[in-house]
Amino acid sequence: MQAWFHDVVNYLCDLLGADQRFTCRVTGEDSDMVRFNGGRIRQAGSVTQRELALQLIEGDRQVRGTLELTGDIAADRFPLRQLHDALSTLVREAPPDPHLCFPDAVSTTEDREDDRLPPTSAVLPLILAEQRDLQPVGIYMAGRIAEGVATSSGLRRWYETHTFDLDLSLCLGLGPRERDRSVKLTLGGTRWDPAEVERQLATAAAKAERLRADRVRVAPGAYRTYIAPSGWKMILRTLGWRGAFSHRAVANGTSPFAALHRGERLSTRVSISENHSLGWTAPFSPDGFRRRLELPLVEEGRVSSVCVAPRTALEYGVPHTGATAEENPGSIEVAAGDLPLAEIPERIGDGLYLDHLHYLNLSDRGTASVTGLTRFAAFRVRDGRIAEPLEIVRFDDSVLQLLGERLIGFTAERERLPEGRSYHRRALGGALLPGAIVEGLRIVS
Amino acid sequence: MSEGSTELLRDFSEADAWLARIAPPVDFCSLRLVESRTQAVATRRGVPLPSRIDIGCGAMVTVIDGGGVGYAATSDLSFPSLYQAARTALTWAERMRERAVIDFSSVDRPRRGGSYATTEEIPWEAWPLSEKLERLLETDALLGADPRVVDRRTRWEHRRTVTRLVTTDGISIDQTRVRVVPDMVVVASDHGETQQRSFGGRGSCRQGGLEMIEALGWSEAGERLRDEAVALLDAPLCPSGPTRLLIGPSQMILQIHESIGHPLELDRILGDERNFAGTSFVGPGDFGTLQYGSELLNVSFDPTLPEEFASYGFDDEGAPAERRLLIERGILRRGLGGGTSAARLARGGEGLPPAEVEAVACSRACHWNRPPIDRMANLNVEPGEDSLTDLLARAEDGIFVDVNSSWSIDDSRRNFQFGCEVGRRIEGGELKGWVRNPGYRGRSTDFWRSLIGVGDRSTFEVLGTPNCGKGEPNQMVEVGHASPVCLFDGIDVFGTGV
Repeated sequence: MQAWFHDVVNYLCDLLGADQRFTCRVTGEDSDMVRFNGGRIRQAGSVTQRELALQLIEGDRQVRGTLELTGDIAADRFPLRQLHDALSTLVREAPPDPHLCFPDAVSTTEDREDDRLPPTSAVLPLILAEQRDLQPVGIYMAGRIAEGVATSSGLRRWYETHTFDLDLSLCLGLGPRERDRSVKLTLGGTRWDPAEVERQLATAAAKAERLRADRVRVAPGAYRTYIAPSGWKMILRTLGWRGAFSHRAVANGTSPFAALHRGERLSTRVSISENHSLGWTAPFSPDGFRRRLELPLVEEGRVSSVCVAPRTALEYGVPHTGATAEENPGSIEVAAGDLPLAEIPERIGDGLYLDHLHYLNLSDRGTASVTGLTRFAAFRVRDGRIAEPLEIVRFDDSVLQLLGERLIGFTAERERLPEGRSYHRRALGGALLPGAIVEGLRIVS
Repeated sequence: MSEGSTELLRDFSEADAWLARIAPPVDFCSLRLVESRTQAVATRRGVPLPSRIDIGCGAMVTVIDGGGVGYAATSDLSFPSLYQAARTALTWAERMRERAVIDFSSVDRPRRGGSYATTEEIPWEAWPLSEKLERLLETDALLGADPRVVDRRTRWEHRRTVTRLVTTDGISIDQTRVRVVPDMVVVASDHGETQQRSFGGRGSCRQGGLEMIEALGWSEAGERLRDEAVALLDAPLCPSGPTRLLIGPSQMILQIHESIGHPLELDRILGDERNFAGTSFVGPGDFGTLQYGSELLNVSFDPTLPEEFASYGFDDEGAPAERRLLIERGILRRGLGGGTSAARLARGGEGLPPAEVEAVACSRACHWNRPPIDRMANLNVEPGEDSLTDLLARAEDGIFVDVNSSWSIDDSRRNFQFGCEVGRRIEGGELKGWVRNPGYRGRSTDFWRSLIGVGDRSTFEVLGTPNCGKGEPNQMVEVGHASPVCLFDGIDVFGTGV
């Protein structure tokens, strides 16, 4: 695929008119996708796709386009020329763009991870095996993902990896009593370790056994609560999507973390960073700008940096961090604390243990309040021990407070959680997060 | 290899012949081709953003054989690629047949071909880029004409999607859909308070050409949204407590989508989405018996309204689309699921008791690279008989809300909490002052059973959403919703923030 990438870039260079420049990003994927329900297969298939994203610049004007391609330069020349023609017409009609940005680096980089994954057919029996009468439900995706960025002035960056994503729930059943009862696990990476998968399945199955007991309903109120790493991933993703770490959102007052930029602070235990040095994503932005590999967002409770896209940098006159246009951090990392995972129920004493959260959204921007629900394994904790499973409850609470004065502590252990999304294409990235105990999580219904 | 020497399927009209050449000897094989062209213009804070042209093209080959089903999707439309895709799909079908959720070969398949095309009066190309940008910048200037406005965006998007489905059953379906998504957002901020107003929360979208932008009220919206955002800055917090809640169409579409649409999806009931989007509180035995809402509630699956966002002639498995009432006088009658899901339910799939649930044509895929799954298309609350004046009078004292700003609902679609951009007091049967940050909570069937007034056709608006996410692998599809203004009793309303 890398040779084809260079062919595409060279042909685009040939097509360029006077006073034209370009940046382009080529993405490709060859993935198997097997979706299963109750240990049986619902859909199974393969996806092969190649795509170009092109920023065409003429003088001080620019336009953008994307084009799905075949992966064979002989076949792709015609549609590439058509796209270039269409964008050339459009760019001549476009007004000057005062925030036009173009990566001026001229270098060649290559990051490549060899294929160490077993064939999908060899993986399925382990995934689909019944685990103590529990129904495996979810998806396994695996294959090559590649991404290249180039400019007409000589930049060439290539990133290629072979990864798998196993996103799976072990469910009790579909009857009225079992319908919402399951334990979820997500695994991903470049190495498939059957022993580790079996260990995680066994742990999840043991946890699922606890869900067979009668559920208890907890009344609205405030509860000391453990939220597992996957829950914090949802919380940080929701805040990030709504601009918590975005320079643009901070500048226009819409960031839910605006209060932190006015001088408020979180607990000194909180350190959050965007860390591309974890190696789960390409070390360059989709527009070819080199990313800040480690960007501290919150250090010991104080805001230290924000994600700045190159366009935002020009608009507001600040240095950029190589962030995407959304200014939403990827590969997010939260520093570990000192709570031993094994002691979590004891440290809670009386409260709640939440393995996952569901359907979060910002309920109030000013206080960074987030609402959402419990899902998958959620338990009442009594006398320092995991007790009954919970009926689904809704929380609505301020993250500024939960990670501020009400943070009791993060766990010493952290989990690597793969990004796992596959809208249009399989996403790379993930998060490295601890769990945490918070005081007085507000349950509202 | 010289340019053009690779034999490519560029002309979709040749798809029948190509299918005949690539199909292996199997129970069934289909070729679904998709070509999309999305164009967009946008501004932010008075500056045009780069205009866009996004072109997609690819194919999915599906094979059913010996009870198994497999697919292979590719953006390479050369003959060797499609030939190989058919073999890959067959390999998947063979590999999974012993572990398939149903004997796919035994499921009835659509047998009628045809075509569908959106009526587009003003094509995207009819207005040059300069004219489009001029109109967006006019709106942008209106949005920005107040010192408290700190951010503003405008955007028009035009999507043209051409699909062709051919199958070895001999059917051939051509569809061309054209959609527009006009959007504007204004953010005002003062004394530490920030408020946002948008053009229907991206819900103002239609099938059709540029004529739909004005039909959705674009020209009058800029000044109004700016003034509303500014007015909300100094509005009191929405009061809390149970009250009569009047909901405008732009919020009703979200309410319909989350608390009727998703729970009625048969694949959720069958548990396919247990690991991702969730399950449903609706069980197979609820069809024909469950009192979903009050007697005033009538909900249709209606892919036939020409201007509605998700209208079509056939779904992506070839089933002809027809209007069906899903909820009649409050009673649940039908679900949202294609033929495969209906067959699985009828046979007691996934350990559920067998249930006869009529299929509707809603097996849909977001693009060529994802297989069809059960999706909403156009899902509408049918208009009633009350004018807006009647509804306000019946509300007496309550709250009016519209345009979604925050949405959250549990995985079985029971427990919801929604926030809105727009809130106003209703006092003495009249709309009064603004209230900021309104929200409300409820449980789906309790909520719909508290429906006490349904607006007439004068309050009915045809809207939709361009982004409904679901499925593994993930898919984002366009969905249409239409609704009148509706009145509910005893709803738990609150204001968020301080």
